[in-house]
Amino acid sequence: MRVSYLILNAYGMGGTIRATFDLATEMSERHDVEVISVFQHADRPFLPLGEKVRLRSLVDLRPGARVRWPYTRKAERLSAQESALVHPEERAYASFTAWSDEVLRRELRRLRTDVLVTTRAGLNIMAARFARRGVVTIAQEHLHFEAHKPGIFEEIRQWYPRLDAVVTLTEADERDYRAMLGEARTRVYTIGNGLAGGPRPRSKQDNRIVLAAGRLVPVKGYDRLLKAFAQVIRKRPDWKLRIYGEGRVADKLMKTSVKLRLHNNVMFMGPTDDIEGELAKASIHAVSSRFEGFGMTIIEAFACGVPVVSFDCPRGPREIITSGHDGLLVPPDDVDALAEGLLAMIDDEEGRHRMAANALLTAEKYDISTISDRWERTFTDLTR
Amino acid sequence: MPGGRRAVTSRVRDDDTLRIEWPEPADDTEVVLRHAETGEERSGTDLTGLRAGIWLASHRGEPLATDDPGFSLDDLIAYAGTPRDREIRAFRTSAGILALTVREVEPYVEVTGVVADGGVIEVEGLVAYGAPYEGAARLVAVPRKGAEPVSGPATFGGRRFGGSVLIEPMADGQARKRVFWDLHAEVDGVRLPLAARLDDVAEKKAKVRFPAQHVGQIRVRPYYTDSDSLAVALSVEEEAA
Repeated sequence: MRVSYLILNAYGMGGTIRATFDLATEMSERHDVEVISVFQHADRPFLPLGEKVRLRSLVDLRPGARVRWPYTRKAERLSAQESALVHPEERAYASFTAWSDEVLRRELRRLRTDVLVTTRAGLNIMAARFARRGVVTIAQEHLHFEAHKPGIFEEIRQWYPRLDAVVTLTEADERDYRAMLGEARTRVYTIGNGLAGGPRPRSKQDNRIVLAAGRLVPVKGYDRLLKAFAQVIRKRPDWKLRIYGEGRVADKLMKTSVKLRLHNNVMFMGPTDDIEGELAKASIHAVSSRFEGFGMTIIEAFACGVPVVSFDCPRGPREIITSGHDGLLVPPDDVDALAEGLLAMIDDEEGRHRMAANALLTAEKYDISTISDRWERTFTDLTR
Repeated sequence: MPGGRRAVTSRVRDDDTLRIEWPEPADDTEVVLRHAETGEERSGTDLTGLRAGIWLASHRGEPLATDDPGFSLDDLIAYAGTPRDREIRAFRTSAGILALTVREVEPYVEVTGVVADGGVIEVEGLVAYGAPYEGAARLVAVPRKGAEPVSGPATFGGRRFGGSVLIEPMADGQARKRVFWDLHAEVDGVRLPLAARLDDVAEKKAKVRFPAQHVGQIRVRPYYTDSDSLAVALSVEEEAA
């Protein structure tokens, strides 16, 4: 079977790229798999991709890249114009141009593949509109149902019924999409992200370190984590917080950290290419997000034997974490509750070790081979 | 992906021997260390005399895979409690292999806390790789250019160091736009640098931001240097436009 994954930019880093690469790599053991990246800004992808997976891009953004004749002039002209096909409320709208519209539409109209998996709202809508007949179209929701603004949501409601399937990360999303799709033929499946196989480092629970990881953007709620951690260190001054990632609110967060006098306890670690190695040095993983479509870092933390303290935000955390068993869920948006949750996890050393052991077992459920089996059944279901 | 057996624990003991724990009993004498730069090889777990640099471990001819990140702040602080001129740390490479890093070290004070408020800079720390000491000392700020050193009261209680220095005398008469001051613990004419190197976080300069204080137009802010030593930057602030 030929399987094509369409992704915004395979050359950056982030949860969707990682999940797509891991899945494509696993599926390439049994199928002819390619990843199509709408944009390319670097020579090679940042994250590892299996050797059997073909990778190609549609719009080359690297300096000096030229579109071949006879499209050169047209590309220049259209690249300066805004996209007309992608809704301005698509979160990556700024990346799209009239030229990417043109190239994407052309690609989808001629793409001969058995299954096309698209990975974000803007691309899902494009697939619904332009994919060839006979191509099984599967739209993935990597955010969550309620994350879409009204304008683009109307397009989702209009076009998703043309898709063969929507695959959500959480059961809560599956329910919402089913309700939205009503009588449409589109099927809905829940398949979480899988964790690539292979051995992992394991936390010995011997460092007083809390780790947080993700882009430094408002949705990750690090401002609230800093405030909660200021409460934590009043009682447990020897605990440290290490925040991994980079993003546009980095400076703002550093200023908050200075204001709260956290310089002895909080470090902004920047990006790392070995998050598992860093997780294994920590004893607790903190999730302070306003929403998490899934929460891949929760699974990664579990797989390294690190229990998680998380806001019970929509939608992923509560479907992954069993509070009191492999982590703690605290009421969302409540800084005091997050501080109390962290302190409870810090102070209950025996419970923390027990939860760390349980976390390792929970992670096994998300092994990529288990997840790819579910995708396999879905493909069979849809291509029958 | 390395095959074969995987270590559960791989750490350096205080006496510079390598402690490896396997899921089941195994013979540590089959561990071979290879110096990354020169290719020199060494068998066994006695690490004394290893030359500086990175050493990669193998076991029965295969890279020695480990699940242990190799980092424990408490262990490293305890290890640094012994005076020594070479430091050996175990770590796990991002490919999951046990490696050692061997460095020449000199005694210094490992910074454990900094207060930058109320017109002073206070530092707490622990002696690393040097002998403990009891009694009065000084916290000395030494400018890299121009002015004379400024110092404040400090004490040693065994490994523990605590001291403070007023920022106003540092700022007095600053003519340059920016002056950097290095901080030291001084006792009997010997200066120990203040630095934070045991927490396994390199390049702290960009990762930690200290509060700024002001003496008139001069902003006084501690920072970590490229070698993770504690220093203070005094910068004349531009008039707001």
